[in-house]
Amino acid sequence: MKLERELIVRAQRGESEAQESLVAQLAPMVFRLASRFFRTREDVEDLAQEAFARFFLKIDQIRPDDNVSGWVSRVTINVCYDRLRKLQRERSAMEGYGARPTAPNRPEFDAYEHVRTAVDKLDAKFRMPLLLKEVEELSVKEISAIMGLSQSNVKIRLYRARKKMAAILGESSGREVQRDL
Amino acid sequence: MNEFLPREFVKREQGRVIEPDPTFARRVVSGLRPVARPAGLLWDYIPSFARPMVAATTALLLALISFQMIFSAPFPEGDVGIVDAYLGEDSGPEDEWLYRYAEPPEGEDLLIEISVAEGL
Repeated sequence: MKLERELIVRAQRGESEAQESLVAQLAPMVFRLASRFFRTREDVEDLAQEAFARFFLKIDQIRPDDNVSGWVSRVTINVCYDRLRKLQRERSAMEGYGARPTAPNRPEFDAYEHVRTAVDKLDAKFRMPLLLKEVEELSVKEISAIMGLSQSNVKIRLYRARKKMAAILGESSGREVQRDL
Repeated sequence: MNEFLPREFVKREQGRVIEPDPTFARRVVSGLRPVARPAGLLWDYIPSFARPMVAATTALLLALISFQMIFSAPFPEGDVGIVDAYLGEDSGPEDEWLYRYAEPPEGEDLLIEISVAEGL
């Protein structure tokens, strides 16, 4: 996405009209990325707001000729990653106190929900590259740029994510079979 | 293309995109306003990526000016010029007429000048 140089300069000067126009142009991309990792409108909107707040906090550091949309997508991914890690820590703490996450009551087996639950169980550092690769169809190079990792690190994470997914899916499908019996 | 995750899952996920509502941009920017810094100083108008360069240039200029003020040769004060100040100690009044005029005086004037200088 090519943004007007002048628009960025004006946004850097603090002109609210330019800032609004910049947000309007970048918001669909930010929402799309956040939708990959969060499911409710409230969560996605909250994340997008935080991503833009972080972006405007550091807008002075951007050169008008830089790839601003790439910058914003990196900020969005960082915000998503932080939030996923926080949720993961909270979930671990809850489990540590003996609380068990309530399993959704599913009258019939839903393949989509089955995979979705398995993906949700993955650690954020594996889940993010996996979804960016498989659902967003980004290349390893693009994922490495957006996540600030080396390409070999991304490949390793993808490999591990796939192995873990296979293990989770295998384990849960075993439980499904047992329940059906 | 998607060999790992089931195709149905990938398709449904790709279709599951939450769109921003039309007021989102306005809400984001209005949320930024309280933290907006008051502009006014010249420094505020310089983008942060250019600030180190501007600061280095200003510091270099100031250093040059201070160096020049401290170490450059002071100009002689009063009517005495650089040559007078330099040769002053070695030259007597008889040498003055040699460099007092751009054009040496002619005829009688020259004779008077010489006789004054020689103390005749």
